Amino acid sequence: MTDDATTYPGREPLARRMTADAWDRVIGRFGFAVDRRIEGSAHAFAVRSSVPHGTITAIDSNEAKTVPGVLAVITGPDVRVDPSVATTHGETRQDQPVLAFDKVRYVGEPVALVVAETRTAAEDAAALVDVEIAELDLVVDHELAGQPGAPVLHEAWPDNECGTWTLRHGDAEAAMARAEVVHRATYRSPAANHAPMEPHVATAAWLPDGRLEVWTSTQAPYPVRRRLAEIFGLAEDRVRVCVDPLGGGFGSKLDLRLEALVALGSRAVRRPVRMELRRDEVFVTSAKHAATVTITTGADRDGTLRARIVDIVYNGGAYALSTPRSTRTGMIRSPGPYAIPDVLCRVVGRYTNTVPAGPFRGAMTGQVCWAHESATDELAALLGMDPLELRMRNVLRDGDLFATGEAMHGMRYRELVDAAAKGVDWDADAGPTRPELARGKGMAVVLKSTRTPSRSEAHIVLDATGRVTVRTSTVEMGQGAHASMAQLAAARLEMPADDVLVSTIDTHRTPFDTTTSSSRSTLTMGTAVERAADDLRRRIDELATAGRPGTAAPTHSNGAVTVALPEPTVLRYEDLLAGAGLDELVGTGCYQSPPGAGEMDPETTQGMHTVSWHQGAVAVEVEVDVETGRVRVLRAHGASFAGRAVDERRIRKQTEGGMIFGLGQVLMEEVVYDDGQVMNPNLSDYQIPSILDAPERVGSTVLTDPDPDAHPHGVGENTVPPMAPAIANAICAATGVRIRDLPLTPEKVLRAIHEPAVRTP
Amino acid sequence: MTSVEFRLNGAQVAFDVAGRETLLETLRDTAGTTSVRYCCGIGVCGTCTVLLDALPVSSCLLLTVMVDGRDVVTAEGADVRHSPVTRRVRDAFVDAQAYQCSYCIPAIALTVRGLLQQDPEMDADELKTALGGNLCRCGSYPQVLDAVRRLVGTSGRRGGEQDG
Amino acid sequence: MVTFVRCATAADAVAAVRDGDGTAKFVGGGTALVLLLQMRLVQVDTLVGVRTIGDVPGWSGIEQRGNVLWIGGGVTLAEVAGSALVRGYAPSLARAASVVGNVRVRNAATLAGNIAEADYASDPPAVLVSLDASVVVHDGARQRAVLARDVFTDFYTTSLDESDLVIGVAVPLVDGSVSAYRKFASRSMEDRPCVGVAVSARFEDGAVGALEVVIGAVSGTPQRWPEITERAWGRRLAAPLMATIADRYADAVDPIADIRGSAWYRREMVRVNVRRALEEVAASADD
Ligand SMILES: Cc1cc2nc3c(=O)[nH]c(=O)nc-3n(C[C@H](O)[C@H](O)[C@H](O)COP(=O)(O)OP(=O)(O)OC[C@H]3O[C@@H](n4cnc5c(N)ncnc54)[C@H](O)[C@@H]3O)c2cc1C
Ligand code: FES
Ligand code: FES
Repeated sequence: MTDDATTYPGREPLARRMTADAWDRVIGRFGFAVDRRIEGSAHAFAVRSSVPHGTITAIDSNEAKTVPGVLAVITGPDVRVDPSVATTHGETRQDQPVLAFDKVRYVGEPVALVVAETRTAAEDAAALVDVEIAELDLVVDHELAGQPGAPVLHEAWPDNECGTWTLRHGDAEAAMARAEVVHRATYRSPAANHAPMEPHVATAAWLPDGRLEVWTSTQAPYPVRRRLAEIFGLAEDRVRVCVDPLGGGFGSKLDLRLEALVALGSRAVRRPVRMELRRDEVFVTSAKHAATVTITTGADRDGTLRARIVDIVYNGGAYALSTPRSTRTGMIRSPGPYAIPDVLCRVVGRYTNTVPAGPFRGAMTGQVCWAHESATDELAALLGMDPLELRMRNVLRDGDLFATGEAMHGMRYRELVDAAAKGVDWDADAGPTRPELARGKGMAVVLKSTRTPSRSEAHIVLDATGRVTVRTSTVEMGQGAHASMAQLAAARLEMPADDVLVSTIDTHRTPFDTTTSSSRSTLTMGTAVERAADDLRRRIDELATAGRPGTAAPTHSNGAVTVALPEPTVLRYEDLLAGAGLDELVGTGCYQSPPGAGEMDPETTQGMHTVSWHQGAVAVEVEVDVETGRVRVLRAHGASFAGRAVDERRIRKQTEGGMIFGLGQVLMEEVVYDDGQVMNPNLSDYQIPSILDAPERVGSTVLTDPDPDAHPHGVGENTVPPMAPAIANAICAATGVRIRDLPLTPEKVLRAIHEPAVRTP
Repeated sequence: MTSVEFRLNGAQVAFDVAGRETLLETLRDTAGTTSVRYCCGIGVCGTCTVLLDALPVSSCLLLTVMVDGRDVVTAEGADVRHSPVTRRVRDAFVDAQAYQCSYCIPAIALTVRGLLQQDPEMDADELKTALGGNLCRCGSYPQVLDAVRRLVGTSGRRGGEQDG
Repeated sequence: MVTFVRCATAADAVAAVRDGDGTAKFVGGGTALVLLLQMRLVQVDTLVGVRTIGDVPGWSGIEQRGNVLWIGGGVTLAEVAGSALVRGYAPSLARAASVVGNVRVRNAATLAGNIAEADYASDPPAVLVSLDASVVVHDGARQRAVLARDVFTDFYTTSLDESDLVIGVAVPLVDGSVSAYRKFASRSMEDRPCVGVAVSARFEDGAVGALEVVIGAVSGTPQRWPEITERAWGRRLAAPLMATIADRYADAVDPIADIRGSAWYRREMVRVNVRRALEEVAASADD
């Protein structure tokens, strides 16, 4: 398993870069994580809890072991007594077992692992493992989980507390008391599933000398490496994590998922072990945080925002994952992109007997944007103002202080609002339509931060054949990151992007990166790649001018340099290397957020939160069938600030795709629990938008910064969170009804139309 | 185990399969066909699409034993036939950059191809309606529609070219 | 272990299922059965393939037989939806077949399989009942026709025997009749029906000669109230009458609640969609 021939059976170790891959992608030859097959692999299938909360009293796997082809059955209690495996693990809190051993805390929690020659045998045998569980009282609702006497999931956190933070900027309570107009409402959003088309998959193999190799569909290769090292008591460099391109991630593949399970399995059977999730398992493997957000806004009669108080409860599910940290991020974004002098935000995460929740495209922001942007329109109605005008008056401008106390710069909200509005012909009257159909337009803006502190490293390798390869641990998952990296490197080396390769991820070859998440890669990894390219270019120049001090810096073009010697002489990269007797030349680059960035005052959450604020706006036009409550989104226009744009077409795909992704959570998506059981763990009962549900007209505006030294900004998530409030605002414009509870199903819309009490004044 | 023979992308193939094995499993796990992909497993999403006797169907809803003696074509295998429709469909998807992660895309392109071979006069609206059963979580639908329009134009039903 | 047998005759197929004694099942397109097998919800040892049956006249065809439209047991929903005969004589059936699931399901699934499966959240059953269609079955020895309205008896349950092979559907052709089907989906456009409304009518001199309204997907079986529709006979199908029928139907249904809608919502959707389906039929009669 050590050399490349077995590690990469039958394929090139380096993936060709993305745009050149278009053909492979269309005909289906492009390799995904699920396509990685390690010769000799056995297959694992998890035995999962069917009880939401309970104490394991007995596990009987004797019958399962008789199924032909079964190699091993590993149970939670087995792991517990194994001194070489950590009993619990976690990114922020050590609260999660690899396999549940004393308690189960959600339906779907892995309790045992069956390893067999085939997946079918493992699946059949898993059904025969008998797990006896004494049921305990359960709690699914995050608001109930915080009440006295609620069932407790973890003894160490008796209030089910899972992340508590406060942001204090000025004196919001006093300012609210003085405000001329006060609006207060509560907005709820349910758990949702990321539903990446490709299910999670992982294969692990232990080498004879005790090293661990894992191929996995993760968005976070280095964190997975660290976590595996912690769990199995290994030095980090004895764990190798390899990642192929993903068929979508959306945040569901960020935390440790299957990696520790396959590693356990592989250790037991001394063979590579592979695990690929069934769709119902994907539904119990990750989730969006359900949330309740109460938002109080004080304003002057002329629409100037004076104060905002936000109270947030996030449903963290059964284990902490990143919730204790990410609740703070959500809280910081919760006042929205407005200049408000006095702000108070309080957030708490709660453990519940549901699937552990993690980042979901637009992490922690969808829930709060739903609240602040619905509230903005409701306030506008109270004030008798045009919601667009209210936004224009209050959105952040350069120099304004945000709720964190930071002075904002590069703020483009007014242009974004304008562009989104124009995209749906905001002022034009809705065309004639049938009487049962009502049309309306709505808008929403969003403010997102990128993960800070963070670090990205890149290597660019020039090899003896003259080939240039970017080595990066940024995961390609549809956002086009690898194509962008190739483009950025190529521009610095003045060669065609098609000639730059991007490696697949392998922590033994590709250098450190924090994660592929929070729309950070183009900024952080992009900067690292540009720096690595500059470094490589400098090294090439040194070779080209070696022994000739005072020679002018060579020019580069198409994989060759031109040096004035004094006659201009063209030297190909490969010849330069050959001449110097070198096999390869490596340029390195690193991006590291500045010292102190991301460190906030623990009491007030004041400080520099992020290295980059993401700005977006969405406007939609909807048509509501007032007799059925069905909502059709006719048009959606997203506007995003991209900073220095790397590739406008890809930005548009992210911007437009984000709206369609977001549409699902607005109109139809909800993980439904009944007594702790997920009732709809399949794509028939949990529906996602089809091409017929997508708006008929989808458009985008990409605002850029013409400065060639400007940073690129992340755009992957900017249009997801605003979809819900934009659509709710449009429904209200069309029908006068206001719904504060996602998703906006036809039934809810019709009920609201039938019950005038819900109408806004 | 039952032995099953069918045509796969023009070539006669034979496999020994378990009775409950789906065509999707045989194609991915035994035949090494990567364009046919698992996602929902229940006929909803379309990533497992193959052409069975020229018609798009879900390979997750077919037992391999059921396709004995029949003709199966997958997205990558379409090359075999060098048909102009196949070529045009692929070019349109590449030109429109109609993909993000692209997990869903080969199946969508294959479906379009199957539909156009059946009815060369399908227009963009009809194709869009027919693609309702091909889900794309990345939301590449606008680009897919762009590809479709590049193929058949934007006007109503038209005279199309016959597949060769 | 599951084995698959391919049958050349109806009698063979029936015998194979009968011999299986509860462990053998017919399989048409397999779109329902394979799913149940995968989810381990049925125990089947023998799958009896009926696609290849060769001794039933019109097994894979759609044809007019006198005043009956015949749809064979091997006919797929895509073929039903695309058939000029069905579109011409029974547009509601063509419509219902065209909105089942997706392209792939329609290419594989048979109308016979849809009937035998008797899923409550289906489109064709309500239409077949509204058209007064018969399901023709072969029991190994004889053929018999069962009125569609007598076929569906409960959730996933029919009055047919397990070894009754559906060899076709016979739709009576009535001069001057018009029909419509409305599928109402409450979530994705791709969803199964939350409510389905099938209407078939005949008009004489602008007045209703006959009227059938059948509701699908709201209870275990397609629902009809002849006592409500019969009151329309002899009257013009004007707006107030349509609204009255819709209201009566909404009052009469006893809807289930599921992930596609509560009982309250389904009742409202019956009201709206019955009215709209009647309007469609009235409009097509005016043409
Ligand atoms: C993704 C998806 C979406 C769907 N959406 C809809 C929808 O929107 N509306 C809708 O109405 N339906 C929908 N369906 C259901 C679909 O219509 C049925 O699965 C299909 O019609 C069954 O036909 P089949 O030939 O595939 O049956 P099979 O799966 O082959 O068989 C189904 C049952 O019928 C029996 N059977 C089959 N043929 C015969 C015969 N000739 N005689 C007697 N018994 C027989 C079998 O033994 C089995 O019990 C959907 C299905 C899927 C997978
Ligand atoms: S995997 Fe077959 S249709 Fe989704
Ligand atoms: S492009 Fe990712 S699912 Fe379609």
